[in-house]
Amino acid sequence: MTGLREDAPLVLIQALMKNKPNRKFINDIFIIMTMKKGVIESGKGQVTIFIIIAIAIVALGAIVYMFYPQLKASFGFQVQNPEAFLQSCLEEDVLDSVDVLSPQGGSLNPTLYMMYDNSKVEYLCYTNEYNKLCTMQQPMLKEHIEAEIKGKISSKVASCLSDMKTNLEKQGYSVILREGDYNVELLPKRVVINFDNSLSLKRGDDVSTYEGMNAAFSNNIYEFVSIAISILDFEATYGDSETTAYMNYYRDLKVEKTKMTDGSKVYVLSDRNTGYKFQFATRSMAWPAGYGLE
Amino acid sequence: MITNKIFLALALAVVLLGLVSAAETSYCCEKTNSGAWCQNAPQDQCNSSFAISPTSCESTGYCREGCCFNRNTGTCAKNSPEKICTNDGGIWTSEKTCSISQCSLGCCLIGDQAAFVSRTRCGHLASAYGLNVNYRSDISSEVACIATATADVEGACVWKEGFDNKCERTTKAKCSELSSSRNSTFYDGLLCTNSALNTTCDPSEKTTCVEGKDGVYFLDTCGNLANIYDSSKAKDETSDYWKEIIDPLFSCTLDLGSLGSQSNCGNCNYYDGSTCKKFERTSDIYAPIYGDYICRDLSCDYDTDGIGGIDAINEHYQHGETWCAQSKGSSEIIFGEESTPDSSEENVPGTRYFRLVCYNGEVTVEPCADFRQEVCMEQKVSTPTIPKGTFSNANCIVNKWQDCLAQTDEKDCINTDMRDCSWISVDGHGKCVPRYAPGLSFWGENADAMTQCSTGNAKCKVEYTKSIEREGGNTLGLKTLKKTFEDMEWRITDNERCDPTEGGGAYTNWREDLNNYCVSLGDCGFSNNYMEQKGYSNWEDIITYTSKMDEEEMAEKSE
Repeated sequence: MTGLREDAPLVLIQALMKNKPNRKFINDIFIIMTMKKGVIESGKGQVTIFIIIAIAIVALGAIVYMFYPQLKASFGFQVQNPEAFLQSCLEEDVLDSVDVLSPQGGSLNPTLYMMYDNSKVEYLCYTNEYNKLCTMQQPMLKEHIEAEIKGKISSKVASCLSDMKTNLEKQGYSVILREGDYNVELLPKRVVINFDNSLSLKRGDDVSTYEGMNAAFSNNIYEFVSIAISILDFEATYGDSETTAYMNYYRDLKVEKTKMTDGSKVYVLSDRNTGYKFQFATRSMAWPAGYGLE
Repeated sequence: MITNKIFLALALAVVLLGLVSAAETSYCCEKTNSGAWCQNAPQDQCNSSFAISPTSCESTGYCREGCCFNRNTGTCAKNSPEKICTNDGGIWTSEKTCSISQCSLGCCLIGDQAAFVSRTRCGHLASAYGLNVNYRSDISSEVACIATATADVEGACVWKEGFDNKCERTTKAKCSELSSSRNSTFYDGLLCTNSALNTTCDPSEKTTCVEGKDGVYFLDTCGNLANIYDSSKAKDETSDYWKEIIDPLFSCTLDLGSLGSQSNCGNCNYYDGSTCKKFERTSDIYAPIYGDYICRDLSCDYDTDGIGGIDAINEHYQHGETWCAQSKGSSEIIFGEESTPDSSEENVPGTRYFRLVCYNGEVTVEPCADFRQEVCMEQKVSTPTIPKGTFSNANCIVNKWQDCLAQTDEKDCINTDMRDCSWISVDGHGKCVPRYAPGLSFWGENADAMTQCSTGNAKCKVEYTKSIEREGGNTLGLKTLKKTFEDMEWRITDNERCDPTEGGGAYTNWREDLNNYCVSLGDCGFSNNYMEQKGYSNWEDIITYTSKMDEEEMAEKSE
């Protein structure tokens, strides 16, 4: 019982009332919950029940907070705005796929890669020879990333559209959803998904139509890809690049270049404020040891 | 001459091996087993599901490199094979360097931002931002382009709401847009706190950072930006400070070297080494007098000499400064002050050069190419305004050592435009050697180290003589031998310096001389590595003594 004050239950209630959780408060709750039956006096036992209820409320709140988009879809939160629904439904998957492909040179499953910092970092410009400029491996890097994200979220898009339709129908709408293709586009400071869909809703006299919906997600991958393209251009032209030039232009950008023994280079572009990283590898104008006769 | 022959033999070997090597890698794989597109590689490395030709990729149709561009976004990529370009929806042209009109760059001005991009990409960006295109093809550099970007004129946009005059600091264009809904009036260059406007906005002690700007700005009570933070003007209601927008050029002057300047002035400048950041006790020495933001000093401290502790003057680096690491075994290479390194201690096996970069208060380490194929060169620019007195710029530069051994003329050897070589004296002869000895591969059957180091082999033949001395003449006038041949003493008559037992100091010098030549060639000879660990532990490992001629052979010669 070390550390548990005699007036612990009272302190807990006061803390709950004041809504001031602290480490001591949490410890006390934990200790009380592990107390053997009968240790607490009868009056205090009632207080314990209140505490347990309070904890359950807090836990429920946390669960709702963590799984809000899914719960929103599953428990039939009303779809006020179809675009907002799609945005909320897709956000996690879109941003997760960006988080996965960013340290891997823009591919979800890199094929030509080197291991760096426990990541498979894809070569975006590569030559296996010495003293030679690299050949572009992903000349359309932006489009490649867009395709990767599109592929990754395809099943989620289908389920979100389906959930949206079900949800609207539960709200009494007559729904006509013409499903078309969708595309992912990287734009300055955001990733946008454009749906070539049309949605007609009718409830009583209320009729609304949505043509070509879209969902936008805040992200800086466009900026990082643009810088990567510029670095790749230097690699393909000169065999190397100057990192400080980019840090002069972009103030929160950190560019790190690491040259490996085999002549490969890993570029790590990161945002000094958010810590977001985009990394890729190149091998251009590599030099062997000595004359490279072996 | 012998060296030349050896080098010619080496050069021939290089050519021959190159041919052999080329013969091995003469297949153009459209895709290799490792997933790389368009590589020259041995046939067994090619992915058999794709095209393979016994020729170099430059000669094939399927791997011919060109320019890949996107018609919609205007992005261009050089050295791109046609197939991977078109597979991803790009348009391919045979112009390898992308010198086509679709890829020519100009200045794209969007709002107060600028980007040096192609015309198509400019249009794409403008549509993404929902703004009009202003493309300047007459601006041909990125620096000039960024300098051209100017913000629209701002001022106070005032409108009536009930009995109050509300105000927002914005541009004239935005104020005009809003005027239809709230009948607002724009006051060019004025702040919302200007008493003449009689708005609900008053000066406050709150400050903020602004995206795209360096400085710390005061806010008014309505949340509008005021002027650059200047603590002396916080309560000043008489001057224009809270009335008009003041250009940062005419605001307070931040002096990072001056005590307390950061506390009082928010006129940060990224290029001068400061930027607006939220005050943090762990990162900032000075706290602001008002508000929570400060001009953070972006300079760095770094233990460059590696002996522990920071020299407050010599190991304090400015934001944007780059310098060479004093890594073990590396030479200190200062631009314009190149000297011949001490080959016994510098550029020894395992040495590598590194460049250090200070940006945003953080030092990053950039390794130069391994095996000393690149070295780090530093240029110190005199800058009296900083305590150290100089601002360093460093770069990893290519170590041009490859043709040093072929140079027989001192002038050609030390021509730094062409190569990085030194002219040294070896056993009385001038020799051209790499200034910064390269790292050599010692693994593999035809390792560089074996070939390169063997050019430093030397053979010294010590000549021993027994002199025939005769005694005085006999009756016939013939002299008689003083001693029998066996009793006569050997005397060195040539190359005494090469005899370890007789040479003394001359022998040591000869040995050092030749070893110095060897270690200058690369990872050769008798030296410690960069961790000061001994390589060959004894001279005997690198010097072989052959026995003297046997007695019979000598007797024959003496006759």
